[in-house]
Amino acid sequence: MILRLATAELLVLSAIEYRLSHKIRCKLLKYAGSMTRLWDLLHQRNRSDEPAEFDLLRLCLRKNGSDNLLSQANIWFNQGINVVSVADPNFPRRFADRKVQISLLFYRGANISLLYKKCVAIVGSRSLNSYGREVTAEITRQLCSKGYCIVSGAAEGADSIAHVEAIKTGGKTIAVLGCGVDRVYPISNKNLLANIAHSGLIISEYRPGTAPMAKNFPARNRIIAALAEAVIVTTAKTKSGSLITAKLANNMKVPVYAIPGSIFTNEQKGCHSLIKQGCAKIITDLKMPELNTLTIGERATNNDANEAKSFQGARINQRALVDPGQIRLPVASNQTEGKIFEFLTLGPGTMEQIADYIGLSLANTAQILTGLELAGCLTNRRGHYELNRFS
Amino acid sequence: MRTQKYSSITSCGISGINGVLVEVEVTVLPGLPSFEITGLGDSAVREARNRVRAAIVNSGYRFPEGRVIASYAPAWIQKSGTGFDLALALAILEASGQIVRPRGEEPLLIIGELGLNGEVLGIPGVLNRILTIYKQKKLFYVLGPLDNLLEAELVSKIKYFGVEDLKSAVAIYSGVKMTQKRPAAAHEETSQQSPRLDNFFGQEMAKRALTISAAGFHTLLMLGSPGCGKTSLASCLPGLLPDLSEEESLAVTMIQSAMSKGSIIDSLVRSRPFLAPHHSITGAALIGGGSPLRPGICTAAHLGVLFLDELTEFSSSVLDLLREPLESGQIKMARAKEFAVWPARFLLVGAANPCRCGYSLEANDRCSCTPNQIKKHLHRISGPLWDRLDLCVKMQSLSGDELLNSLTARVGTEHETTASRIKVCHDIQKRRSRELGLSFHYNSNLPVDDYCRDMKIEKQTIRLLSDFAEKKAISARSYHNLLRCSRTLADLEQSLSVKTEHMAEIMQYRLDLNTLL
Repeated sequence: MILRLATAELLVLSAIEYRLSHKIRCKLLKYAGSMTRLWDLLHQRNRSDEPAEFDLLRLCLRKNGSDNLLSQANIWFNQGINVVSVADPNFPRRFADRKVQISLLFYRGANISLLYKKCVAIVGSRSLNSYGREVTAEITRQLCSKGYCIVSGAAEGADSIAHVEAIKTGGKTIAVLGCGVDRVYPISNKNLLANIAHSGLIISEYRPGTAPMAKNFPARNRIIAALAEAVIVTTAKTKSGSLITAKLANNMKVPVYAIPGSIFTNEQKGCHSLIKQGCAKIITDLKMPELNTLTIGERATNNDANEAKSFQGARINQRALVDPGQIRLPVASNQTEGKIFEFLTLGPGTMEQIADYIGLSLANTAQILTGLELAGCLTNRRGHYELNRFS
Repeated sequence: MRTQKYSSITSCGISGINGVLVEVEVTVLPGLPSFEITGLGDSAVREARNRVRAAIVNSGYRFPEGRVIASYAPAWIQKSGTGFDLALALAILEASGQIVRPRGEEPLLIIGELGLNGEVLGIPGVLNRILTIYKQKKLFYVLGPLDNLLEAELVSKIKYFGVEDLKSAVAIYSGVKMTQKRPAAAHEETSQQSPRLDNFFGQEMAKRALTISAAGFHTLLMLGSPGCGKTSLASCLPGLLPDLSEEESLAVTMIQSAMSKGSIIDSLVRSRPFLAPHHSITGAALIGGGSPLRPGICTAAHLGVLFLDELTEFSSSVLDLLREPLESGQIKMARAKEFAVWPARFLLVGAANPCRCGYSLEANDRCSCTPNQIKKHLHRISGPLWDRLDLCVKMQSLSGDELLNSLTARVGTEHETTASRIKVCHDIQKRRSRELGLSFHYNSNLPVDDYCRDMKIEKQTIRLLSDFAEKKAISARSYHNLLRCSRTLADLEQSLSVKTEHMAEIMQYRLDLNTLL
């Protein structure tokens, strides 16, 4: 395994130094047949039929020293980092099928077989209102109960909720990072990433240690799209990064679904425009019968299928699931509260607007709102009160 | 044997905001003509050589020949300012035998700056000096500038002679009785009318928070979009706060006298200070500093309002300096050479935008800041300082209708009503603190152990608070401040006990940073 990591490091370094293109890296790996074999070949004498670029790799190897490469690989190995390449027989075929150029995939986590499971990507905004939070969580629960593995980007907001819910429900989840798999970004997801590494999989095409640079994230999105059988956009504003994922998925002919919201708010405008443009299908049923027709993930061996079945049955905490037919508003205990709920179903409102609507003084409104907030019916977000569903 | 050419006159300097008695000694020794001042003086003290020599000569006296040495004792204390000029001139005249203080006259304390033509000019900090000798129970008559006469007469127990030139100072020093001149009638100060609350349309929630904050001296933060009226609302504060009491007024006048830059103080300051420093302020300017130590804006805002507009733009290390004074109400400065304690019990009012672009609290999607950017923006104010902000109000831009309404001038009594409610609330707090034997009487400063006995908090209120504390994971400080704020609200409503409704309302003004992301 250390040899594989050392080879990966060599390929990454030579790609930077000698601009080895993706195509050439694939050619080299395919010629060698495996990463360890490539390492061996580089340490042997020139062969007559080897590609010309082998010399470049040897040059790079001499420059960096194989001992250095091995010690770096050793560090990574001790951190639980691993790598797969196109040369490996178990490299997901989806990437090649969907014309995604990836030759190396670093990963951290126990369960590499998740890459061949049927996966659904859940993407959304980093900043969510209560509707966004609830709908993301519920969709995740429903998908996990169907045995799908949840792919997302481990960003703040919707991504985190999807991962957290998947782990909570006993489902499987893959986090695709825009930085090295050893890095934690955003820092607030430190515990979450540790949990995913424990029960799921963290993958990245970037060399471990790579900083989370802005340009990495749109590129990361193509991996999310490529891994998934379907992409679900739970929330998106007009300029959301989730829309990039949706576009990429469209290009790869991966079905995209979007969740509609209130037209009074801006939180779902991106979703609405996806649906309007025909880029995404609308989700109107949280049980999502449309997903039943999806192809099951590649290489679904008997073993895998059994495993899928087993966590469908036993590991899913059925009680955590809410029957989508029963989406309900908080129950109002008196007329004023009822009026407040009625007002807030139209969209979030400030305390002044609420006081105006229910015709009470600010002081009285504030008292009622505190009560509702403590009871979990409302949340204040950026100075506006929002209804919590499923309370 | 020749007569000793020596004279010693008492004067008084300023250290921070307190007076320091200084003995000005002068001797004329034989030798080449020279004039030196010893005793750790700053440039203003050293430059007195030229002013005093010119004033003596231009007033028709003779500057002694020989080696003139002046010493300001105690020599190890740093002296600053121009207040010693007059004492120095008189001491020189006496040492050179031109004047003499008759025996049996009252001890005299002499302060004042000299002009080149012999005129006696006003100086800052006269009140502080007089209060110092009054407190030390030293019997002095004070001879000082005529300009400062009204300021000096604020302390009626001390006799003050105001003189306008060196000649009349000499006359009084020599025991000639003179009628006291009065300074020219004080120019009618056109008191700046602070903006009225009535003129301000909308933002009812912010007005409410402002009232509670002013009533109990609770720190307030206004978060809102650019142009929503944060600064205008804060500028209503001086008009809303009740005038200073006699005792408070003396303390504030003293601070203003010490820190005044040339303006003449002719009566006790009644209106509360309102200071709004620019956000480029340095730490030394904010809480005081320098060498010798000088008080800063915080002390100048004592018993008044310190308004920090664009709170997030202040250097965070400067803002953090406010942490101690916010808690203790005073500033203890310690330097290798000096130590000083100044009062700094002010009402901190801050205004800030909720994010870099400023519009994240709006309902429309004008704000495109990411949660991370907002976090970065808000974290320019440190967590401990956030914890000390008792009340926080989130303000949105005025709607079109409200803007239209604001064009029509409104004549109302909202301003007066609010001001009188705040006054009543202050009186209630005064009574309470008198019963408790506290020197400072605002709810924001109530000690923790007096709550249960004196704040009359209902059991249900405590239960609600515990519920809130558990859900929001608030600090012990926030817990107590919620109690204090709701006590103020109960006082405002003139309720004897703190009811759940008061607590519930205050909770809406409690900031949870996560709700802003």
